[in-house]
Amino acid sequence: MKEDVKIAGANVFGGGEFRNVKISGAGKVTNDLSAEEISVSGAFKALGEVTAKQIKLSGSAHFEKNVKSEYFAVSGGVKILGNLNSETLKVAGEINCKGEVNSDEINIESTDSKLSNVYGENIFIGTKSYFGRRKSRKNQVQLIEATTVEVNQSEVDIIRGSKITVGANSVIKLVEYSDELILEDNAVVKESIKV
Amino acid sequence: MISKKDLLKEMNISYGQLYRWKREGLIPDDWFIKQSVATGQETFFKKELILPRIQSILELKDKYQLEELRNFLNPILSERNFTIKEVLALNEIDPFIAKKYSMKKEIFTIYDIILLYIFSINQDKLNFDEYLDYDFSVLKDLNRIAYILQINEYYLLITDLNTIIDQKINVYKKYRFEDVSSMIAKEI
Repeated sequence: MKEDVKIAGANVFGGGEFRNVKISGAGKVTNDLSAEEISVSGAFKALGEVTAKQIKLSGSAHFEKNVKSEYFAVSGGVKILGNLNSETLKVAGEINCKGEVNSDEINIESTDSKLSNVYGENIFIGTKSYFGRRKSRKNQVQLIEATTVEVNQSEVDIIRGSKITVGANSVIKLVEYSDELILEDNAVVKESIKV
Repeated sequence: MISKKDLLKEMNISYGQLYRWKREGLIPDDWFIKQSVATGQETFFKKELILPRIQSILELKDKYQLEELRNFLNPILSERNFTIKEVLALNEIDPFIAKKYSMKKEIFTIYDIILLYIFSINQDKLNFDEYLDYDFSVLKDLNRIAYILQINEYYLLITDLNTIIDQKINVYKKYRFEDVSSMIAKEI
């Protein structure tokens, strides 16, 4: 049977296959890591590829390579230098991903995230709270492609999808949609094409 | 080449479906070719690869589990799974024999197909009904050789990795699995 890893305090481990990895404090893994569940409260840094059924992070996390999981939830901040693949992605706080994000359901509640290419079925990026709306803070995204997309508080180069909703404090350079484009509040879409 | 936009329209699928299949490994990452266009970057595909692939995924996805589905699309012949429809499409396979064999299984391997081929083209010598109890997929080695032996008026099919045949017995035909499979590969 696979072992558990538990870090309370600060520690470094070498990676491998585990059942549950639980870190409270600070943990660093120097090689590829695969586990059933990874839960972190505090700080986490992974130098290799990370694969897990569930990844739950609260605090700050840094992944140097690709991350793959069925369920990936962050409250706090996460930085990923590789790709992020998951079925469900939930972020409350901030996500910065250099590679592509590919997930069925994406819910990113944030006004400070930076993403390159985001792909999925249903994608929300922005804030759901009225008080979270501030003109000065915006997510920066290069490309979003999904069946339904809803964004606010965001600057996006291109959004492609069936049903697209652009909300408050957003500037989108190009929207390509097949069914519906909804503009709310002071949303700006510079160019839109119905395909 | 076909653009992603046109692909979705032509196959009537959503972005979500396309990216889910990519994530699940049903469409290889390197089939997504990024190219610069006036509006920035767009993704293109080789038409001759992506269209049949999406067609098969759409046909198979509701009938099989993800792992089985992956095996149907496996490029390595010896690890790939086949549907009865694919088997029946092969020229050399007698549909009557294939259908009889499919009564007991619905996922076929290359080993099933090799044996179905041997039985199909030697129907005048071998009686397939006598072999119906066997599951050919257990053979699992392309280095095997199948021998059809003639003993007086009777013909018998044997296959093993190390076969020693008595010189008094007449070997009527000999099939290397590898040869048969590369022949079948041309048709797939």
